[in-house]
Amino acid sequence: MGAEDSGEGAARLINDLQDISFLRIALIILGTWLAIFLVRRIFPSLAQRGPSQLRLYLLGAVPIIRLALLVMAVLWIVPIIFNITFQNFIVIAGAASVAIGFAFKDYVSSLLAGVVSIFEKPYRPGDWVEIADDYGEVQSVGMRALRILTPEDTVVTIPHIRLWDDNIANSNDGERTLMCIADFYLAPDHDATLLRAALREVALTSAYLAWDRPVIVILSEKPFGTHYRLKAYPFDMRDQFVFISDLTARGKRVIAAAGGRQVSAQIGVEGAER
Amino acid sequence: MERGDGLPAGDRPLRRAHPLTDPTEPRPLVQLGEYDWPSLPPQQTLRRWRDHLLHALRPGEDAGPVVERGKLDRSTHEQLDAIAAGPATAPAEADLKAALDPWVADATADPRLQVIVLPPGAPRDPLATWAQTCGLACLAPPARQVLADMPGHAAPDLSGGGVLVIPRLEDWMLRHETGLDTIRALLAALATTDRRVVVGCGSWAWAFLSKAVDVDLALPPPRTPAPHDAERLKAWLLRLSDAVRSDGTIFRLTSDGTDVFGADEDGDGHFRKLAASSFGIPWIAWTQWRTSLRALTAEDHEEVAGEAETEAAHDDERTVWIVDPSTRSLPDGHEKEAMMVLHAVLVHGTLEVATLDRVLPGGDTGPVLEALVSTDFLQRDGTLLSASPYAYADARRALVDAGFPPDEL
Repeated sequence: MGAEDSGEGAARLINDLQDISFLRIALIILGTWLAIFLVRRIFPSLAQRGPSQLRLYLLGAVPIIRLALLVMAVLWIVPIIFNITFQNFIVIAGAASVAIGFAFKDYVSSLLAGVVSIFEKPYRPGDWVEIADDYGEVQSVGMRALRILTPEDTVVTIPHIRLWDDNIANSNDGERTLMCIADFYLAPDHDATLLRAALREVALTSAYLAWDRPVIVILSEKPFGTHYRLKAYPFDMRDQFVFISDLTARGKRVIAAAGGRQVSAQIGVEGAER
Repeated sequence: MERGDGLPAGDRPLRRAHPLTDPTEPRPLVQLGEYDWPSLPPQQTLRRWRDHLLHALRPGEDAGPVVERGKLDRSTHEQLDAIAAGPATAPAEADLKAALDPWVADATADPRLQVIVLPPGAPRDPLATWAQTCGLACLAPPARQVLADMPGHAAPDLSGGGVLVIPRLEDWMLRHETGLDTIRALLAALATTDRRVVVGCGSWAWAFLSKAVDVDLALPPPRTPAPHDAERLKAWLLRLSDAVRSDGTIFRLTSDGTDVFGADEDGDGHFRKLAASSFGIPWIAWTQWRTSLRALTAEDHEEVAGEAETEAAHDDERTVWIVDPSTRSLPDGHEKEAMMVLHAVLVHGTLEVATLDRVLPGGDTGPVLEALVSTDFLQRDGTLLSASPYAYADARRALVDAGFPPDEL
């Protein structure tokens, strides 16, 4: 009797096998996978080739479209397999909670953080972010993790779960440019007004400069000398390192021409004296 | 936006000559920033996208051109001069003359400084030509090499009587950490002189100098010639080709055989496209127009004469065919370097080859430079580089798409 009841319950929870169209499920999964695959290929390709104004929008659309497609696919498949009633929903939710709680806690937490990241936008494809010690351009935002490409051409995969605990520094936050800073350390005996103007000129005449953004030179006195920070924006944030290099190389030239003298700290290297 | 005729703006036939809006008459200069960039009407843009899409999906099912491009020869210089003789800057020079002559004649007219911004690619400097015509003194700039090598160069001497013309303000600067002192000295001298001065500047240089030395604050608001829209272009090119058209020559599109100077809307559509693709700059439009003109090859003439009636063959000889302009591409794999070079040249107006490396970060620009010259993005006059009108439209689009800081008109 008891066995009959439980069998009846299971039949009510899951549709009869003969009523489940596995072909349909396979087609939905295949279609969703294909659509996601195409979106992940086409949108970045368009972003690469199209106008730079659209680049970040196209890249940012990928995770949103993928989430929408996945939700659609799940909502489509679930009624095919399960007999959805309130009672069955409770049963499925209970079973899922146990499974998630024991086996897939971190994985599901990452998935949830991935969904949150789509709406809170702490990072989007194309953004330059720093998470813990890793800095780079967000290449893709997956369901469980994001991938960033560092300046050293290394891909770092970071699970979304870091969103809950870590600080995430986003250098451009969806904008097309970001602030670059070139640092100079000078011996204090120099004409600071002259040098400040000369360094500003360096940024103003850079071939990488975004003309619609400010150029700022700030300086502060340190125990070892004067610290200059030349802040400016490149018109394309992908040029940030060559931009800083350009500012630094030409900055050193004007410092020398203006009679400034750069200082450096003596750093002891372990084993050097041995 | 629609008018009383019920047609959208893009689909209305171009206005015919009217005493108040005669398209052949000079137009008043417009304030910088108020330039009405000609664009294709949305319907035509959508139609073009649809055609591109259909062509991509079903390449074999197009109606095809009336005349194959392979059967057409480029027109000779003599033929082109008969159809559209220069100077290409004539309309802009007429606009400048109409705007500045009354100011020159009235010594008390305000403002004391007149600033004219012009787009690049002009085969001759419209402002310098105007100054020469009026017999006005022009201030010669120092050599670019001097600008960087002798920072803090002495302020220019603006003393003297009469109107002074500085045709190209960009000649007084170099985009280099020591290359802005001279232009600052010039701006300071302009602020203190009592002399009446006309200052000309390239549109790209103006955008750069507004950032670098606040030229937009130091000088009065600049003006620029009004854009050559489809109506003005059609009227101008119609007038230039008066002689050949009076012989019965017809200008037809190879795509569908439309007579572009005919009164129908399709002909007007061609000039709308030309205005949009040239940004309304007359010398760019003039260059594009001339490069699009073709005649049947000699063999095809004979073929036509052999196959067709005498009258038809005669008609064919008198047809000038208009092909779609070909788009130029930047050197493959070196697009960024090429755009850096293009941008530098546009900002400086003209630039010595030897000076190019001083305004660009590192690297040997020689090979890329050669590629840009051979593809007509740049033109070289001796050792002097400047933007070529043949590919300026493609260059500007590429730079804007890549996010480079653009000019403003």
